[in-house]
Amino acid sequence: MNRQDLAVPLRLLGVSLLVFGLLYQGSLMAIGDAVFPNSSAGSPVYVDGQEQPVGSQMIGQQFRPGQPEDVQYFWSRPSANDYNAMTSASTNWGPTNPLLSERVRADLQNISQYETPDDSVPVNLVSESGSSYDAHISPAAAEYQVLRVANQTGISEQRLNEMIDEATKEPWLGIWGHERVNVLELNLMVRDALNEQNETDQNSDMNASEIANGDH
Amino acid sequence: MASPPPIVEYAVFFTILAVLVFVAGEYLAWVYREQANSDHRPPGYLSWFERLDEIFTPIENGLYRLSGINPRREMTWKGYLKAVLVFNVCIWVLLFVVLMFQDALPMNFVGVGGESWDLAFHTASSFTSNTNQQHYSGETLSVFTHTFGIGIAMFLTPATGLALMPAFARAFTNKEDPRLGNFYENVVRGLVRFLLPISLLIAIILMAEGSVQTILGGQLTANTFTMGIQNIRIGPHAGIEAIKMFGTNGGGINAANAATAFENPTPLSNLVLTLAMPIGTFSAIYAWGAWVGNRSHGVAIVAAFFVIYMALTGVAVVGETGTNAGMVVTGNGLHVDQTVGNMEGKETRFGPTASAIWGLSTTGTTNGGVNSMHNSWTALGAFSLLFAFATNNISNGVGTGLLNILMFVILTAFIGALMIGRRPQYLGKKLEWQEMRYVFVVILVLPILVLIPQAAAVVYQGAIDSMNNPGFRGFSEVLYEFFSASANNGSGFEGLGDGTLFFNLVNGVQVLLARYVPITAQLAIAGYLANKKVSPESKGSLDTDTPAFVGLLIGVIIIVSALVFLPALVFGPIGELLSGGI
Repeated sequence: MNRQDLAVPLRLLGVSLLVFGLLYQGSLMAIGDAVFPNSSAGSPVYVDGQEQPVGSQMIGQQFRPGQPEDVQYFWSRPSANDYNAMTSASTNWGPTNPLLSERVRADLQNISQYETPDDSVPVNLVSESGSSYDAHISPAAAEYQVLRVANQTGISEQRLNEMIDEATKEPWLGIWGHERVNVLELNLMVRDALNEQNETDQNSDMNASEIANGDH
Repeated sequence: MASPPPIVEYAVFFTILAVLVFVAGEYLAWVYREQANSDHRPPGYLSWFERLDEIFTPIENGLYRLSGINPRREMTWKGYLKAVLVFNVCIWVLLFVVLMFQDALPMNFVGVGGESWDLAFHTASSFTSNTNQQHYSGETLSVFTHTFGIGIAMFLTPATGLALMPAFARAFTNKEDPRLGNFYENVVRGLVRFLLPISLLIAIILMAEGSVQTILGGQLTANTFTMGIQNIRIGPHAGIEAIKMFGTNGGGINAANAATAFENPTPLSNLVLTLAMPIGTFSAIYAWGAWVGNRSHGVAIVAAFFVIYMALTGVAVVGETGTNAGMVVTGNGLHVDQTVGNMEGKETRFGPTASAIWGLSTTGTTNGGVNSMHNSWTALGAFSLLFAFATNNISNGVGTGLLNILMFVILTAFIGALMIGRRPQYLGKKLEWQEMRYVFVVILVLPILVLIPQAAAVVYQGAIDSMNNPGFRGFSEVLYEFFSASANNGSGFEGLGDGTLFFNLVNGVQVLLARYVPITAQLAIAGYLANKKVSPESKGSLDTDTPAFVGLLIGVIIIVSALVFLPALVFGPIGELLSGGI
């Protein structure tokens, strides 16, 4: 082996570090910052009165039937790691694994603790996503929860259905992918409506001036 | 507007794919026309390719000068092989060092540790061989490792594959001339003209759809209203994802791979990435016909592999739009409505059909990226995945895929000629025992590498303990893992506890043998054939562009390759299917 046989691959590797490492990734980051600043930052969602984002539009959050404090909100899908977005994982239980049936049965029991429109629970509410933080549920899964959320919050069913429509995204050109509802977006609307309600309640108690900036 | 029916998504996908394979195939043929010693010309309406020389030639010349490459220095098959191996050893060493010492290197924004020696051995071998099998969670690598280790290998290993194609084409275009071209020139051309521009395009589409892209941070912190602080991992997702999918790589920044939204944010990004996998491999098959001066032969081979790909995808769609047997349960009077299909381990935005098409695109090539968890697939779906492996991943990898499928084509030409009583030849070169010996070596690599370790694993308690599911499914997990390593695919029936010394060493050796034994044999074949003279086509020669040849080719692949694995498949998905776990 002569010297060139080793020098050429080493130099090519060095050049590659520069071109396909630094230049490729760096220029994409620059394009992202200039043209798609929202994507480049991780699609953060901001709400009034909070400096830090309340979440990312792309990343799901935990709203679960087993947790009483989430009962006013639309539930998201089961997760193997409680929506920890620093990792991603799935239980990977196959169809013949008894643990899978156990988990589904437990979820059905949790769901049955509250109001249900019928006995047929959409699969989306009891199946884990692959990422463990799917931001979406199907429209069927959202509609199934309208009765409960309406009873628990006092928001009218019609208003909730409008919110679902607003948080729904269509398949690409209607021919690829599935219709889906962004759960965080939907629940932020629910929370706004709850805040409004509280303000109205407080107003009737003649305390309006004290909670003008409504921090609940 | 509701979600589209499965048949619409199926038809849309394969229609777009067929068009893109043609365009990308003509383009790839143009990229390597001189290096393949071909008199190829693109059709008139694609002659604008020629104007791209003005952009690419100066970039290539710059890279040649910086790297000290002399494109006129031609290599014989032995020199070519030596260059491939030395270059790949350099990539391996870079990866091994970066992985072991990533905790001490900069840009470690979330404080990950270095990998252990056996895990680093497996990871470096896996990424050098274009396999991208991961025995770690993607999130345990630093941004530095992704940008300057993994990301570099993702460009250079498919480029290594691409560079083998024109050398192999010379086996048939050369007339008694042993020179196969310059390996490094071919690597640079593949990078500059094929991998880089298309990856940039895909990455920009991904960012437009919502993928994150940063090399200056590792985490985004959200202050949520029901679950407290939620930390979210960010990094160079768009850039890595693009080359990961287009270069048949597959190892994601996130453990859940392209199921996560930052790698694959929307249905449109999912379509682009699903197409990116087979375009890289099928375009090379099309280009083969153009190089050897017989486009209809290229179309015939593409057609044969399309038939297998579409048939298995159809099986997967039927399986995944069916019900998950484990969810047919009741609780307090409620039951699960599974009319949409098996959604366990799948993302809402993709749904079962697009996930099934992705699944067969990732196992119909050696990509290995996933957008749903394969271990949660139905028995029928799992069968289609494992059967795709048994055909050596249908169209295999970028570059190496063409060489691997040509082994089947040469074997078919050999058998076909004997069936009609002619002297075996392919594209005017006589096939003799020297070449056929190596063809069989390549074809036997997969069964030997998969079945012998599989036999060992089912009686080794350490491997059994790693299984995540009981019964047939546990057997399928290990079978999938060995297939995935030995076909250089890299995907997993995730859940298998594969980060053990046993799996790290066995899989690490599998990925290396699966990559470099075939390459050595194929370059030897190219060397022998290039030295032979071209015998003129006569009336009695076997036609290689007829439907009869397509049928024979499909038959050879199924009988010679896939049926070797039938007993193993019976213990895995077929057993599960027959026992009622549909």
